[in-house]
Amino acid sequence: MKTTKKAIIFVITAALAVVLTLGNSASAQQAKAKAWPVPDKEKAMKSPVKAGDQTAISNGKDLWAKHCKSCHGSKGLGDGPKAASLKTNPGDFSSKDFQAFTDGEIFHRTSVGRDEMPNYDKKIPDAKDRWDLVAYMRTFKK
Amino acid sequence: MHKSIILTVKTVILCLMFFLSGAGIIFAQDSISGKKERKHLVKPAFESGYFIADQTVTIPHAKSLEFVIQHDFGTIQNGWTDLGGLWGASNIHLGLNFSITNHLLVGIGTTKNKRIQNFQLKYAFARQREGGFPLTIAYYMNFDINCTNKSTFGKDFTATDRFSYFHEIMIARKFGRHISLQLGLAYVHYNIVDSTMKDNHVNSSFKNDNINIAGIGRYKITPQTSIILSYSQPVLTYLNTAPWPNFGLGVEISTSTHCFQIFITSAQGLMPQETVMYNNNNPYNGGILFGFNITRLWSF
Repeated sequence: MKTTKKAIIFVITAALAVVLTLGNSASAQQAKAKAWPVPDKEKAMKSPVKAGDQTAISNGKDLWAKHCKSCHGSKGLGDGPKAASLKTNPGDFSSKDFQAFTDGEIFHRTSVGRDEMPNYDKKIPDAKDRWDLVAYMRTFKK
Repeated sequence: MHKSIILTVKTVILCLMFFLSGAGIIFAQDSISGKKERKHLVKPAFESGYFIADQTVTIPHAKSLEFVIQHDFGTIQNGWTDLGGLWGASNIHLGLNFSITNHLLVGIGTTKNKRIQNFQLKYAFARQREGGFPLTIAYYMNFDINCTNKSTFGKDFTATDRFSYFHEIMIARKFGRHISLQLGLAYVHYNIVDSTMKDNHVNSSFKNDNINIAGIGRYKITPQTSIILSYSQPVLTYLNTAPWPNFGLGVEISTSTHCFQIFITSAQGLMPQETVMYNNNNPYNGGILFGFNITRLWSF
């Protein structure tokens, strides 16, 4: 009985040690996103959303909450609840680097996806809705 | 009188299917001055095709695979002795649906109670557009096979005794960002029913059929969370077993790929024809139960 008890305690302790070590390792290995080239034609696309269109931004906010917030966070800082489990850091959309992308680049990447980032051309089939998302992402600018 | 009601409703459903498919095509054109202008679709009125114990007009986008779990616990009649039904007799349905196009969905499933295997189809005739057609209209059909032992079907058993059918026309509209409403008119048929289910009218033989009118509504409180409400009223009654109407009230949480519904309901059975024909849950006498639905989507 004493031996069994000791064995159980040892197994539980060892399992906890493995889980904690692997958990730390997983988060330490999260990579920065690689460069994501966009074809020139898509890069040059202009958003049909007028600057300051609150209806479009409001629509974009609703779509963000449903489709994007879980990874990218509520303010686009890449701190959503699922972010830590990703291999690639979702990035900070409030940064100068991100806000320097053209509307076309952001629209293209949102639509086609890459690796862990899903493609949203089917989940958000209306292109106008994806442009509204782009308009909302512009509000993250610091 | 019941015979004429059944025939009228069947005729209405068939006529609506033909008329609305034509209307859907006409309104989808939105032609102005010979130019085809396609007005934007409004966002789906509901997050999922499942709504407590009912169906909605929503069809996931083309080439989506949908997995659904529907689970009802026991009724609350026994109070704390079975934790309000959580430890009581439960029912579960597992299903897989595939959207062939944005308008057409087919599915299969299996249900614990009565070992029902089902096949279903949903077709959206028309979808609500901004400044265009004001409604989303869909037809839903469910075909059940009761796979319990043939001894439960009585004498002179034949394989078709196991079959039952559910047909529904659903009309829905999204009113702004927060409110969506839907009305449904359904016809239910069982190839065989218990002999005690005699019609109230001596000369009528339509004990195998019923008509159902259902209303559902959703109020969105945040982009992902809604309050959901449903009411379903079977029209015909029987001499010995009058099916109770069923209601449902709950919360829905949706994400990009999942939809979760947690609710209380008085519906008995997870298949729509079961909830219409055989609902014995008296909501005024503890005939209420907790349940949940989960759907998960994969895109191809």
